Amino acid sequence: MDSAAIRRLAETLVDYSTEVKKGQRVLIQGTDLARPLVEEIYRLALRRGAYPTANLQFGSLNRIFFTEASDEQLDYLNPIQDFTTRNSDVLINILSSENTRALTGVDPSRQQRFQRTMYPLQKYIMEGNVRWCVAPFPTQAQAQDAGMSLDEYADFVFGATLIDWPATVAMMEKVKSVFDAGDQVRLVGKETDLTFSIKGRPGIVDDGKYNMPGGEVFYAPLEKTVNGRILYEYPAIFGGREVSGIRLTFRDGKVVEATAERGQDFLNKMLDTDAGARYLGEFGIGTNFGIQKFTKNILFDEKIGGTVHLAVGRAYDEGGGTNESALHWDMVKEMREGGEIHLDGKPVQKDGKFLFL
Amino acid sequence: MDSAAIARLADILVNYSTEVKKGDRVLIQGTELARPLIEEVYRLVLRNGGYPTVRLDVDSLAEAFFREAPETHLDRLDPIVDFVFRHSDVLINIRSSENTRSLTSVDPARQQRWQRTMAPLQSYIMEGRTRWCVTAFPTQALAQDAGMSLEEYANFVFGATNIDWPATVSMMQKVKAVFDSGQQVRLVGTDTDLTFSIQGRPGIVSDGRRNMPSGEVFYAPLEKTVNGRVYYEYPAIHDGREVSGIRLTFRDGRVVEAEADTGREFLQEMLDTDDGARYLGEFGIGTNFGIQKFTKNILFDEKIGGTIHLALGQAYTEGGGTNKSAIHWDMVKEMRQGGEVYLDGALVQKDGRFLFL
Repeated sequence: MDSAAIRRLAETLVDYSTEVKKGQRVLIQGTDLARPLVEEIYRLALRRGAYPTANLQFGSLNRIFFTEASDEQLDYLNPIQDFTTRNSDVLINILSSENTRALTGVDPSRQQRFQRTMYPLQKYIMEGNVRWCVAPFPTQAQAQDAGMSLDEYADFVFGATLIDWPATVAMMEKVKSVFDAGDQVRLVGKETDLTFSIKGRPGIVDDGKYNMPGGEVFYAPLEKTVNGRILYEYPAIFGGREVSGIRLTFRDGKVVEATAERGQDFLNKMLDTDAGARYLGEFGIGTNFGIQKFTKNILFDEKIGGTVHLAVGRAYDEGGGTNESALHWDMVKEMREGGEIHLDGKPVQKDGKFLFL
Repeated sequence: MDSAAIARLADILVNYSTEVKKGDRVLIQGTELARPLIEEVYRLVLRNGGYPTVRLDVDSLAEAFFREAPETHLDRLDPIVDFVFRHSDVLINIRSSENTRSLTSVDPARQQRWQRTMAPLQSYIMEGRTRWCVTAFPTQALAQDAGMSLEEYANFVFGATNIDWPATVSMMQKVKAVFDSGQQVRLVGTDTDLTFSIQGRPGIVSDGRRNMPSGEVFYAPLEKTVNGRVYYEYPAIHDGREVSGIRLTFRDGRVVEAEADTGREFLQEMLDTDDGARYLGEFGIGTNFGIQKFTKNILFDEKIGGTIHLALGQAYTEGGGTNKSAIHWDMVKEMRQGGEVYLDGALVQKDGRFLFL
């Protein structure tokens, strides 16, 4: 793997995403496969005068834990883990699975039980007590899931993460200011003509400070204003299940017709999860032009520059959305081939390119 | 590597050496090369109702630390490390280096400074608050140092660790009972006829709870009673330096003559370290008959069944010894070929075999 790229990713995480400063306590977590990146982050943290702790774990231990642990052990919040997290200012979590299916055979209720145990710690992190950032390190398992060799996948990951972040953020701020000032959004494309309002809803810029790679500007559409139809060129994936050739028709916010070339039953079932599952919770605009390729990993796919995505289900609070649902299902639409976005009647994006930049 | 042997070693560590019980917090340390053993230990700890935590050691991070850390870092006892050790009932440390020379070019002064910082924690552990056990997992680096292939070395290590410990301990207790009730020890062998008293000094049985493998019964000889001469068939090693063909002559406890085939100057230098360096601090009897071969690793060598060892310098306080010195240098003597051990004039070991068993 390209060691210069690994060093640059470490630099991006330490100096851009988490802005590690002298005296800060930095916790670096990942599997043993992420060692080259962990080493670089560790070294840089030391150079910045910070106090790094590297916590490397084997992927296999999770499987052993969930197979062997008693209820008592599942309910035990390890004080060492608790203390380690609560005594860290920065947390850099490297996703580096050696087998993305390792927990497939584990009873989900045992995993849920342990997640409940970990919830207070999770909450502590999410509430902003820790400057956290999640980033990928290319592994064979993740490459395999993306349908690539490790080499190709490494190029893909570094292509997505090693972009000029300050320039990308400035571009995203511009996108936000244009859409924030607008009201009616219209998406036009293949078998697609959909309108909705985002009036008064603030755009959220995903700048790669928490999720690396970032690169989207997203809104919570006004729940009852969505009308028209849309075709998704890319399969939508949920819980490992794929639905392709999805066509949705909206009337006053609600999905009134849903068809799919494959996975129709599953699509219907998901839309019937609850009342909110048929309403949009998110309209996102992909702005990471370092990502070109759909890889069935939503964290990358939703950011592809020149795509948009719409999520049925729950809205994020920060965007002012009110739709509630147990579901939040992102579906990605290609705009680079003939797609158009209109804002209050004026085209602002064509063929995936912003016209106001 | 033989997975049954790995599982057996894990069982010995968890159920014999540290006796992990329900509710015990167990810290497992090792490098990623020790993964098969770490996984087995982790599994068994869970089965016993314990709470395992795995801390992977990464040699290269230690190197990065010593190279990059600002001076003030060397004086800082990391609160996380402190917490981790003080909240563990059991500590299983698996030596599994990927390169035993990785810290060779690091400034020793920086290492010593950091060791001083860690000293309070070290003494907390050694004071017996933690049930700690140090063991080894075969790696290429360790095999290379032992002058073997990995496969040979794995057989060597498992041969030493996977013995019948209860039987070995009762044999060692018998050895202790015999020597505890005696006074005058006489060692006879090639170029060797040495006498000393162990009257009133209790024998210490090294039973593999702290060090795995173990297998020795050792005494602190009465400091001024050592007389005669001894020849060591095996090289004595200190800080990586080898001295071979050592011949020592003692008078009233003190080394009055010291010869060596190679490394004579270094031997003299060491003997002149301080006053105590010319007196014996330990007489040890190797009782691990799973170890047959000298490998230049004192933790194994001093336990070879059918050898004895004598250490110049510092005595262990538990044995009642009073000799003090900055050195403690074990030298191993072969007894399996014509060697004899007498206790108060009666022959108790011949050709490395105990006659009273």
